[in-house]
Amino acid sequence: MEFFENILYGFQVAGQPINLLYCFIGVLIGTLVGVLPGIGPAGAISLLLPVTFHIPPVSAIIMLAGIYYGSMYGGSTTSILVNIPGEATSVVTCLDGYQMARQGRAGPALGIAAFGSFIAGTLSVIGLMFLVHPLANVALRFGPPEFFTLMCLGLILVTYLARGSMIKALIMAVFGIILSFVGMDIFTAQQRFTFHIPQLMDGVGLIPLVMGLFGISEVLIHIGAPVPQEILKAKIHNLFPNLKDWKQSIMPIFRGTGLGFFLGILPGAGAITSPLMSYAIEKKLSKSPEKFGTGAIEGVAGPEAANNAASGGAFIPLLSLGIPPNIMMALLLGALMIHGIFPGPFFIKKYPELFWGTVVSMYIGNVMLLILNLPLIPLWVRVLRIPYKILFPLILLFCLIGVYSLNNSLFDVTLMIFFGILGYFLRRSGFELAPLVLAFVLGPIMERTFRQSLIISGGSFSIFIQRPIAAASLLITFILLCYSLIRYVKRE
Amino acid sequence: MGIGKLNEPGPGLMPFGGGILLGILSLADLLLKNARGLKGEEIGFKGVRWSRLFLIIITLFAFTLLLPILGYLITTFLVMLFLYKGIEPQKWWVALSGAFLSTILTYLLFAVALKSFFPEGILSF
Repeated sequence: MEFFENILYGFQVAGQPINLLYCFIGVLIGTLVGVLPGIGPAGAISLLLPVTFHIPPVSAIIMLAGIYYGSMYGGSTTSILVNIPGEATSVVTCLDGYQMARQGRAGPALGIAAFGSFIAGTLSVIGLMFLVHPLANVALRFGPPEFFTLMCLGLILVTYLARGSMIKALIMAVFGIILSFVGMDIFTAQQRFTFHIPQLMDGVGLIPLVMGLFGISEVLIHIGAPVPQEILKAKIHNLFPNLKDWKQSIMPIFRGTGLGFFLGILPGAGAITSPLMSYAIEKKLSKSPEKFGTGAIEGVAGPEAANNAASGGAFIPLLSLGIPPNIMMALLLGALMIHGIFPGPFFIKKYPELFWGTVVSMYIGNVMLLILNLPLIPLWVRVLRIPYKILFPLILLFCLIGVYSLNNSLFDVTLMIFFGILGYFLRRSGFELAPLVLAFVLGPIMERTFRQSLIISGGSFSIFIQRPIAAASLLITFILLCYSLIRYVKRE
Repeated sequence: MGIGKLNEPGPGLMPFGGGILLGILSLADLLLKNARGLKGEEIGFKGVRWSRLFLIIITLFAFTLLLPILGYLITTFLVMLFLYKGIEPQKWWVALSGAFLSTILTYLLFAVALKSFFPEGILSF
């Protein structure tokens, strides 16, 4: 009964006109950045973080969450029509989606992607509501050693699933942690790495960091390599898949949803790996696997459902444990922290309107996306035709004003430009930026819990292996590290 | 900034540990690269149009220098005009209208709607 009361309460919060407006803005921007190959959801969220200071935290989180799951919808449009994945999560959709479009079936491909995303998004929100509560109860038993080891595991998983070299991803994670130490020490108020610059006493700001790394560096990368813009000229008609399409797609959608949801909960690149796994599973289960890659609708439905379900699952560790499983969740955590809100086991009890409001807004957002996506596809195709040379000055301007408007500080702007240049060189040299930002957000919590653990144990590291949850997390971390080492030696 | 004792960890303990770890990982990366001539996931710097990159970076720094002197409206208009005309040259009317519209719209969004404060500069607007 309490559950339904909570849902009703969530509808009251999310249904307020102002929150509906921010939800709409969020999903609209999300779809837009999903469509545009030049800017991703991490960049868009970081661009909009400064705006969220001026609005209530519930509206802010509703909007930022909307950008995240909205971008999952939008990413598929470019994959199907242009063969360019708007997001890394939509790479697999290119394989069959683009082939369907070439055969004149762009409409059903776009339609099934939208419907599959809707079903997966909605089911994953239901799963989120059922799972967050029990997990938060388990988290009540967590002390500093458990939190510290769990965060270590999260970071290792993120680096383990990195697309490039794991060593480079680890370097980025350690660099992110060290960067988070800049400013005053939380225990002794001693200054660290501030170089007597007063603006650094509060530490490096999250927003100059992410806007530099994702906004500025993205422009610098793209200006060197323009995005090809070949758009399918064929007219898109019949967006509603027929009965045969539905028959072929419905089971892949359900399987993709389950797979994506559970992979999304795990720290790491759930949203990126789940579509790949879903595609592989559907190909294996199919009676005619040779059709895959030539325009099989199952190859669009399953992966699209998987990446949307993963975005719902990713909220679970953030809201129940306070541990973000991916970069987007780290940015959401940053936004919450800016408003003085720290997610964790007590989050639902302390901020029920924030939790239930956000969760229910995701239902509403999914409906909005479905309504928005189908009729607006011709508009998105037009948006795709906007040349990057028109877009990039606008992205730069938003970065500049966004960062400046935070504290009216030109130092923050200079810091952002510095991180933009750094991000450019790191990306060109094969370093991924996501582990850096994730570690930067987790760094202060890791340091606090590590030092608290040592104080509790009187300086003994055994506290990390004597407590079962901490020991299990450490063991998995160790196994992952050993496994990647063995894999490397075998490859040699 | 001391590292303290294990039962009383100081502010330098984690940076010290992190520094050592960073050193070991960087060394491992370097050795692996040398041993196998690995290119990894590097996009590399081949074909980079350096002049454009420098121009953009200089423009960004110019924004930070000019903003307190010329104020928001003039600085933003000039910077946007340069970005539209100097980096990937557009027709004059595209560049002028793009710079004008982006300046006015962002001013309305940030300064008027969101009540952010921007310097007025020597011309007081």
